[in-house]
Amino acid sequence: MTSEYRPTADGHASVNGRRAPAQVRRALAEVDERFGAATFLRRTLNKVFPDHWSFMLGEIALYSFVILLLSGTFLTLFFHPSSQEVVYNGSYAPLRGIKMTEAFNSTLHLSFDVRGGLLVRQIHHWAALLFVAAIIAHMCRVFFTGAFRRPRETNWLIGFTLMTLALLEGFAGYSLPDDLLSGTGLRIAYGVAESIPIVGTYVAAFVFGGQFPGTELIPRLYVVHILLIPGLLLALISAHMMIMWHQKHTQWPGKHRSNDNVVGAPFYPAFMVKTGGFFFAVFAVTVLLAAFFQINPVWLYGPYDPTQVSAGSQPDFYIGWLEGALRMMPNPETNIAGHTISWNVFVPAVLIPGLFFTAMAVYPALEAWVTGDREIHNICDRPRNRPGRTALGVMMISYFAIMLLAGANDLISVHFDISLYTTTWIFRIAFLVVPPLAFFVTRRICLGLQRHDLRTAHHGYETGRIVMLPHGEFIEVEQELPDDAVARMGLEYRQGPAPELPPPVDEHGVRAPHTRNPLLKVRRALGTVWYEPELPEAREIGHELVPQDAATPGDGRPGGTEGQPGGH
Amino acid sequence: MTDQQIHENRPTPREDIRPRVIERVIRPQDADPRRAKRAERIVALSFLLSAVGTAGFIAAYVAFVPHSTGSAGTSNRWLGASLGVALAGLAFGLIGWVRWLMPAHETVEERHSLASPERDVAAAADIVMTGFRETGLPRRSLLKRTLGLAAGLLALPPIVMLRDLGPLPRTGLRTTPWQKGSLLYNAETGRPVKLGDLEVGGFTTVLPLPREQLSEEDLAKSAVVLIRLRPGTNKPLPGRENWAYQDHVAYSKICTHVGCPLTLYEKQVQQLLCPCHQSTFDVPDGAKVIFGPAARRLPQLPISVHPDTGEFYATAGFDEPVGPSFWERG
Amino acid sequence: MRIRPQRLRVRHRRLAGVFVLLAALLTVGTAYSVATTRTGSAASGDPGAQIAQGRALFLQGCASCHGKAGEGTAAAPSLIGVGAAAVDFQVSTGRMPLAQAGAQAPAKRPRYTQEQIDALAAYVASLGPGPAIPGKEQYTPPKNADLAFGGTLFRTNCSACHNFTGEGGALAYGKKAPPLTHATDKQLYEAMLTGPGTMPVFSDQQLTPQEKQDIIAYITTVRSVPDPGGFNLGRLGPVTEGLVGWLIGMGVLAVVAMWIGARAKRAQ
Repeated sequence: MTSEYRPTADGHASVNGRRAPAQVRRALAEVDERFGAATFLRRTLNKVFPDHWSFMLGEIALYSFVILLLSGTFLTLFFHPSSQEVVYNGSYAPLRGIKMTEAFNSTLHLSFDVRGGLLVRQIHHWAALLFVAAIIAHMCRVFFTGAFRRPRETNWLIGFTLMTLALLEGFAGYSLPDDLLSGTGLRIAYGVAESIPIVGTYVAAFVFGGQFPGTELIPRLYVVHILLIPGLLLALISAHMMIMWHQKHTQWPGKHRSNDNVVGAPFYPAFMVKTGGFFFAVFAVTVLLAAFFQINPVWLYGPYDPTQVSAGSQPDFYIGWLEGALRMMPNPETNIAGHTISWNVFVPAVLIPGLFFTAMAVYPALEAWVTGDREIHNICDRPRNRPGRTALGVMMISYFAIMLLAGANDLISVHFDISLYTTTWIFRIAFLVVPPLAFFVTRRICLGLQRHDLRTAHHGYETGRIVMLPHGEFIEVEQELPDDAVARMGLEYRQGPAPELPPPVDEHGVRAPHTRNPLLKVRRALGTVWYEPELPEAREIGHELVPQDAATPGDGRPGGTEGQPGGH
Repeated sequence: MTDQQIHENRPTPREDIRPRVIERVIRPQDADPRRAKRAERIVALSFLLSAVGTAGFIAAYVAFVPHSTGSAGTSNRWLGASLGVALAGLAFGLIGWVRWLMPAHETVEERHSLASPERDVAAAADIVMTGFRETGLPRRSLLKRTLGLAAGLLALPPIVMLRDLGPLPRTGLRTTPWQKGSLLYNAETGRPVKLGDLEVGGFTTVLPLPREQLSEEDLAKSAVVLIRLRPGTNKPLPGRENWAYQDHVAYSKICTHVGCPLTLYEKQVQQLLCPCHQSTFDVPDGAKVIFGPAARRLPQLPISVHPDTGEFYATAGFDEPVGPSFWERG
Repeated sequence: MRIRPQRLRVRHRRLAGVFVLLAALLTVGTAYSVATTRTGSAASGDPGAQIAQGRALFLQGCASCHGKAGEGTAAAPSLIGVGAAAVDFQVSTGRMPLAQAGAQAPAKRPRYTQEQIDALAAYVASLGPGPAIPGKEQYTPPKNADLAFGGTLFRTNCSACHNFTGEGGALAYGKKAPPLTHATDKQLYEAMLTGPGTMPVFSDQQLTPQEKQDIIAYITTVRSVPDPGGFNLGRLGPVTEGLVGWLIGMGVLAVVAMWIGARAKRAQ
């Protein structure tokens, strides 16, 4: 049964010819009198949301955050963030009688003596892993589709901040139980802080409240974990959602879709129920993981003791790359005039992460500067249509993947029978060799895919049917693609070649800016990364394939808006 | 539809009640009411299953009381499975309801320019400028400067108050409780280690005092490994010939990379391997770094044995700071 | 048929002799087999015979690498002074005899029976004094063993190589600290006592038998303690947890998202 929209006899619009019941109108009027909600509701409830699965990755993060808040609140009712020493006398026999901190003790109590305690602990930890994983997946989607371009640059920065906060929050969270595994991580954090030149020992002493381990860190981490960072996360997530709401979501290219519209399903009721259902799906997956897969079994690790450590000590995956960087780094250290600079720690743990994270944060600005793109972009790029950006993204992912794998090198050594030091060397060399290789290979693959798309759009796809023509020639039948398939290719949004340079000396004898300004030269040189060579298939097609109802192509050619209508 | 039109209660065209449909989608269940009814039944079943799951959760909560690892496991599985079913039932039902029963037409909404009309932008800029002139700040530089001073200074108290977060590092990182005469107490049992306790290839963790008498911070930095090397293999560094005793050597247990304890002793090659980042120290060669990210050899503790009791003791404290490097280390 | 009493008596006397001989043989034989069942390293049977048996086995299966008198060759170290416990450990875990040369001798199915192992052990012990095979009362933890103290000892001395719960770990130069999941109490004791391979030696003066029992109690308890949280993913920590989170968690949710966003089926 489909809904038909028909006017009633007295001219009021309504569903199926009937007006809304009087009670509904009255209730709405009561609210509207106080808050002026009706006009807002009118716009909001009809808001259209595009319908692609890749747009739901951010929702996984959002709903994981809600689950973290709910499960975390339960945990705070039982956890004691105290470094005070107690003797354990609870249900877990292999630890009965030894000294441990109250933090560890209350965690054991929660796991073994509180009904649902272990379940909520595991829900919380699995939700944390999903939260960070979803943020990373979502960030990759936004990056590869170019959804960080104008007008969404601010949301990229907010999202980047959210990611950094999520990493810190997770680190603080799994360090709270004060077990042997996370305590080792805190010891490493102290050592990393100490390695910072000039201020390192002060940073370490102030954060930890003295020498390692101190009694201050667990209570301080607790405040950071349940108040400061969640507060910031809530505020920034709200801002992130409000901006996205106001600017409307991007959408993939396709039939009827343009830079000036949004095609999909209305917010009320379809999208609301869809996203509500997805929330329950995220929650269900988290709970089922917590029911059947053990995570962070702190009773097996034992309480933290600075004289103890275990083989195969790794942090959670979102810090695991940092661990790998520390393992891969060779050991330079310089001593100048009574001062030591620990490059062996400072470079992998502070410098390289700092560089990578800064690169991620400023990327939108960098791309806009190099390509000179000032258009409003509401259409997602297919990754293949932007080979430079996609290749850079894959390169960055490969850096992190190598670091992450290097963090597990001792487990890899044991389980794949590779000598331990050999694994370190493999990762050292891979770190230098694989990312540039990944860049070149990805770029070539993207260009190849573009050429395939152009060919298929122009000639049609190969059906595999061989036909003999009357004069004896055999041909393969090629079937023209339907319109919407061509529209989905988004061929008009390809990066294209670099714009032509003006002549070095113009007709009045004035030298062009690009020959004098070093910054423009740098920009031109960097452009070789983003711009692609002119593809023979593109030359052959010309502009035939630009769909009728598409907006003016925004292919990012520099030169501002001159010669092109404004991109609204 | 402008706001003015809406307020005037004029008949609204149908496009404004629902978003404009650009493609009507007729699914099998839209054409055939029986299929729709079947879809509804599936959704309803899913919701019912969810309710059963919730009931199961409460039953499991009452039935299973954890008091050991086994019972905690039973409780966890049943509570988790039932709650999982409850949530999954809702998820499946809600999503199925939307996909199978709610209209699936493709609708479109126009994007309007985010930018405000030109005159609003100009007016806003003018308001800001005019108001700014009303403040008098452009003319009153004395006011401006003193305001800046007052407001800027106010940022300082919160920063200053961070000072007591922790003590200044001072000498804490340079000293340990080890001193001349400290016995080598076994870190777990508290017994002083005697000559003959360790076989060749043996290693143990020792402290300057029994564990209970040490603060956590002192414990963390004073852990030492005592190793009995194969006879004749120790190559003492110049000036350290009497720091070992009959092939027994003592080194700081704290890795000089980022501080993990070096509990991994490979006796065949006589090397200490740090499990955290694989720094490797060659014990007979003054605990020199032979692989990995650590940059400095381990600090050595000079030891000897009391002739009468046979107990090991330190003949001096460490001659350098233990643990990871830091700026002021020297 | 009537039997004359005299003949019967003679037959009985002869049969009686047979029975007495049988009884005597049975008695001696049983006494011999009982007497030669070992609990300690000292063969309560004929020690000379055992050492001789051990030497014969040694020459057959070990001397090609370890030398005719256990003095060692380029291929294998000397066994003079390693003691019976080391032999019992290496051979009962199947590490020795070595199938092929490599960085480390892996545990495999033992090639010798316990009786043969005891003979080998006795022979090697006769080459030079070394740690004896521990007695059952030595390596069996008592019911009231201090589990928690054993855990503390384990985490200070053992977990850095063998992992928190004895799942094993990586060492350098192609070696590994093996998992402790299938080691018997006796093997655990002997390993600590003799330090096989590159493992350090924990003598009975350094870790008393009681402390070793506490460690054994901890290891055997923890490796069989149920995992209340569900599948333990190998007890390897965050690496396997992260894999499951990404592959199963994100994987399932991506599939659900694809279902939500899928194109609706058109009628006809």
